[in-house]
This record gives sequence, C-alpha cells and structure tokens, in this order.
Amino acid sequence: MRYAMAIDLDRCIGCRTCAVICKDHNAEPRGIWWNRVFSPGAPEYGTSVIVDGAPRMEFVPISCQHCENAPCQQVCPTGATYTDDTGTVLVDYEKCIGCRYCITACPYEVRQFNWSKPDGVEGVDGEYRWGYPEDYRQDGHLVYTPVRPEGVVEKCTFCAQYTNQGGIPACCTGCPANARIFGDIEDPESEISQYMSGREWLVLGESFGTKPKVYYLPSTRGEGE
Amino acid sequence: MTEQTQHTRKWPIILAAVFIAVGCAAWICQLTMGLLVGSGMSNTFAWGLMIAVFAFLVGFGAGSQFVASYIVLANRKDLMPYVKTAQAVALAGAIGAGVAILIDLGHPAHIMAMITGPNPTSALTWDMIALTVFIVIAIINVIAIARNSKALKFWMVLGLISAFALQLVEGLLFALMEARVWWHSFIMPVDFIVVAVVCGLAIAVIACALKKDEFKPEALHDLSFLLAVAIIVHLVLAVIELAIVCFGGSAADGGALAAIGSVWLFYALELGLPLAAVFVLLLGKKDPAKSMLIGGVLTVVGMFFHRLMLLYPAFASPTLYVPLSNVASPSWPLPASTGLYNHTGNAFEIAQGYIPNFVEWVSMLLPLGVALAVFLVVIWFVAKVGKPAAEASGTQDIIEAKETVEVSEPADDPEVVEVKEALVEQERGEGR
Ligand code: SF4
Ligand code: SF4
Repeated sequence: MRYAMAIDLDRCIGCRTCAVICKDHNAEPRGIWWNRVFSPGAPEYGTSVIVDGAPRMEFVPISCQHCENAPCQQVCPTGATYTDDTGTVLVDYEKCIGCRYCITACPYEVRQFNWSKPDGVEGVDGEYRWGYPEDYRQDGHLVYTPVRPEGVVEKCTFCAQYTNQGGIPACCTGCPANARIFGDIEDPESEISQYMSGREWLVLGESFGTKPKVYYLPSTRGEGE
Repeated sequence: MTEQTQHTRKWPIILAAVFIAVGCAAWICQLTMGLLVGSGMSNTFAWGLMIAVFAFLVGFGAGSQFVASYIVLANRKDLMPYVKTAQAVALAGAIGAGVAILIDLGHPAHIMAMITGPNPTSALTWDMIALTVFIVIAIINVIAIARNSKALKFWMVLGLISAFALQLVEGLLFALMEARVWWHSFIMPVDFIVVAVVCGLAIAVIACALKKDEFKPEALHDLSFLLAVAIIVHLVLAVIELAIVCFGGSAADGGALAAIGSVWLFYALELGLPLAAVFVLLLGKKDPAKSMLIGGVLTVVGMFFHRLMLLYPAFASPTLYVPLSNVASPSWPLPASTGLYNHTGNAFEIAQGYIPNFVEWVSMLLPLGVALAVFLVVIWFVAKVGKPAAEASGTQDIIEAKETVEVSEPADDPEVVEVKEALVEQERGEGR
C-alpha cells in the first residue's frame, strides 16, 4: 500500500481552503502552516504573471510531498522522522530533538518548527481548542498531539489520525473544487489511480531525486491559444 | 611566582567562569522563553549563530590535533614545547563544539533518543560518533603527553585519523544536502579539512608568537609559512566553490548568489582577512613575532566570518523553484511559512534574512567559556602530572626540545640566557 495525493491544477481555484482546514484539523500552532498555496511568479497572491506577452495565473498548493526517497528521514539522527507502512512520512514528537537538520534537507520548505510554546486560542468558554482532540499514536509513535511540545518539528501527516481509521485527509474533504484526490496509488481500483489513469502528471523538484508521492496534474487552461 | 604572574594566571579562570555563567543564563532564557524570542532564526533560516560557533570551534579542535600530531610524528623538536598547548586546544575546541550543538537543540530533553536509536543514515549521527571518538582520543593524548608515554606516537596517529574523520564527516554533513546548492559540492568536505588546518596553524602561530622566546626563529618562520600556504589552498577552494555557483546557471544558484550579495561585507571579510594575513605572514620580516600575531588574529576572525557564511547563502535563498505547469516559463520560488507570525507578523516569505539576536550572541559565551575552561584544566593537568614524570625520566621529548634550544646557541648569548630563564620560570609555574 502506498498512499499518494493528486492535485489537479485545472481544478484548483486558489481559495486556500485546504490550507485553513489543514491548520484547523491538525491544531497547527500560530505561525505554523503545513499546507500553503501560491501562484508562481505573481508579485501578489492571486495576480497574474506575464509569460510570452500573455497573462497567466496558476495556483500551486504545496505541503509535504511524502517523498519515497525522503531526505528529511535520511538525515534525522534519532529516527523521529520515519516512513510508515503506507508510505506516509511522519514525525514522532517524542523522539524529535529539534536539531532542524531535516528542515535544511527538505527541498520543499514544508517542515515547520515550534519556535515557541504553542499559545492556544481562547474561546467564549475560555478554553477553546481546535483540531482533532486527542493524541494519536501509530505503533507507539506519537504522530499527532493537539498541544505541541516546544522545540520539535512538524509537518503534514496526510492526516494520519483520519487515514489510519479509513478516512481521508482534511484538505481533500474540504477542497470546494475537488482538486485533491487521495488514495492507494498501488491499487489500480483506487480513486486516485482511476483519476490519474491516462493523464499526464508531474512532480515538484524532480531534480532532487526525492520521488514525491504528491502528483500534480498540469493545467490545460490556455492550451491551443 | 610574582604577584603579577599570579594575576595573569587568574584572569583566564575568571573569564571562563564569567563566560560560562552568562552564557548559561542566556541558554536558560532560550529554554524558558523559546527560540522565537531567544533567537533570530525562522523556518527558512533554521540554523543560526550556534551552528557557526560549532563549526568554528570544531575547526580549531581538529586543526590543533593536526598540528599536535604533526609535531610529534614529524619529530619537530623545535616545536615540541607547543605540543601540550595544541593538544589542549584540540580537546577544548571539540568539547566547546559539543556544547554548542547541545545548546542549539530545540528539545534537548529528548537527547536519549539519539543514544537509544541513532539513525545510521544520518550524517549528524556520524558527526556525534566522530566527535565523541575524537574527544576520547584527545583525552588519551593529553594523558600521554603529561606522562611522556612511550605510546604517544601511536595515540598521535589515532588523533590525526580522528581529526581527519571528524572534519570529513563535518563537511559531508553539509555537502550531502542536495537542497542547498551552496553546500552541495565536493569542495565542502575537502575545504573543511583545509580550514581545520588553517585554524590549527593560526592558533599555533598566535601562541608561539606570544612565547617567541621558547622557539627558534626558523621554527616560527616554518609555522608562518605553513599557515600562509594553508590559507592560500583554502582561498583557492573558496574561489572554486564560488565559481561552481556562478556557473551553475540554475535559479537556485542565482538565489545563492543574491544571498551572498545581501551580506557581501561578510563575504569580503571571509576572504579578505585571511588574504591580508598571507601578506602579513610572508612579508612582515621586520618583526616576525608581531607579524605572526597580526596574521594569526586576522585569520581567526576571517574563519569566524567563513563559518557564518556557511549559513547565509544556504538559508537566505529559496530551495524550490516552480515553473508554470503547461507552458514554457521561468521558474519562480514559492513563499514559505516562516513560523514568525507571532513575533513579526510575517507568515510567509520567499527568503528570510537572519540577524542573530542579543540572547544568541550572549549564549555563544557558553561554548566559548567551556572551551576556555577545558583548555585551562588541560594545561594545569599536564603541568601537575607532567612534572614528576619529566623529572623521573629526564629524557622526555619536550625537555629535549628545550635543550635543543639551549645547545644550539653559545651559552653566553644573552638571548639564550633569556630563553633559559623563561623556561625555568615556566617550569616553576607549571609545577605549582
Ligand atoms: S517533502 Fe520534505 S518533509 Fe516531506 S517527505 Fe519530502 S523531504 Fe520530507
Ligand atoms: S528536528 Fe527532529 S525530526 Fe528533524 S531531523 Fe532533528 S530530530 Fe529528526
């Protein structure tokens, strides 16, 4: 089994719902973003860029690419960063020493460090918490906890707390344009395999040799102009 | 011992104690307040001053081991009085570097994870192993010097190998990072070894210049010349490193160059200070000891900027450049999450600069203080343990070296009388 995600750039409308829902469901502390959406080359978000005299605009959502050949895992001295049986790259918060070597190794700049104590958001009841409410352990590894320890690294887990219980990542559920498709890439009957079947795809930063498991289906807008 | 000597012996101890106390206070600040206010780092500039200090100190540690091993293995009797100092710097640098790495950890409480489950594919694991082995061998070498052990040459060979391995692993720790064009070249591990030689010789040149009376002028000249050559080799490697990025042609190469441009003064000092040192060392014939002192200090400061410049071109530039998906277009960097929203209000940036903040500068005193303390302890230990051994054997190399200085000049030469007096005074001091 190999979990993967396809992102259809023709469908993405750049609304950033995925970034926000990810932050919410995973209780990401302030200043931490596992998922971000940007428009390449645009001076401001959501503006166009001129290429060959024509204005163009494309949105690229980017989070952990769950690399098959993950440099972050390779450099992690404690094994806090590891790949599980589904091919998902995870961080065990209880083993991370906060050396940040993985941050220097990840070419996608998706790893986030807890530079300070997480300061929760106070709600009307004075105790508002957001996100999945309990610790989630996988084979003993603490891969999700609503209140993060200070000084450890975190990143997208493909929502391990949901996918391990048969669900799908929050960004896929939340995307209003259905631009994100998740599933087992090794199963030809899975939704992702069916969606990608016969279609062209690309990966980001191919030259790094990281073999990402997040596939981008190129935009066809503007073709044949 | 005169009152004045007592004073001069006391101030380094006081300095080390103050450095450790103040540095500790800054570290505690970082631990309690968090690195958000305790440093100037961010998710994009994730390694800061402490990593530069780590590389700086480890360079002096390994480099001084190179020098100590060279003196013993090449049987340079004329430089033998410097061996114990070199070995002390070797141990002090390595332990100081270990402290720097510990301070830099975000969650040091989890450190046992590194001991119970080290990841063999990580260069950082190998770095810790190499550093530990280096420290153990350096301690054995200190004891071997103090006891004038017959096995000293054997341990010095191991010291040489461990220093070489340490710098190699250190260089690979950076060079293997494909994401960072500034590091990802074969130059990095080679230059780490050369820079260690430069650092070891720079400290040797300074120390020997300060005690010029203990050495023959030819020995001092040799040290100066060796340092100048090592600096030239390092500068050639630095130029090749720059050329690789200049002619790389990728967007990431351009990003690294832009980052160098943003801190051009650091880069100019990194290259300019050691270059100036070469001229001073080779041309300053009028007062060689003074030239050595100036050249050595210029080199040490230059090496600090060199270590800082490990960081800027690598971190102040984006790593991922993305083109449009369906049309030939340039590639552009995507902004990344800085993690600084709570502090600066900036959530996303294409590249983030870095200015070490006050707490970071102060916390730097902890590894420096520990290094100084280790140095003083080693010097004290060698004097304490070494004296009876020297007297008992009467044949040790270090004593022989001093005799070499004595017999090489006519006995009534006033300079030699001065040297003898200096040696006698030194031995008296060491015995205390
Ligand atoms: S995208 Fe970065 S964090 Fe995610 S697996 Fe790849 S290297 Fe690791
Ligand atoms: S910061 Fe944590 S996850 Fe990253 S390399 Fe260090 S120990 Fe591993």
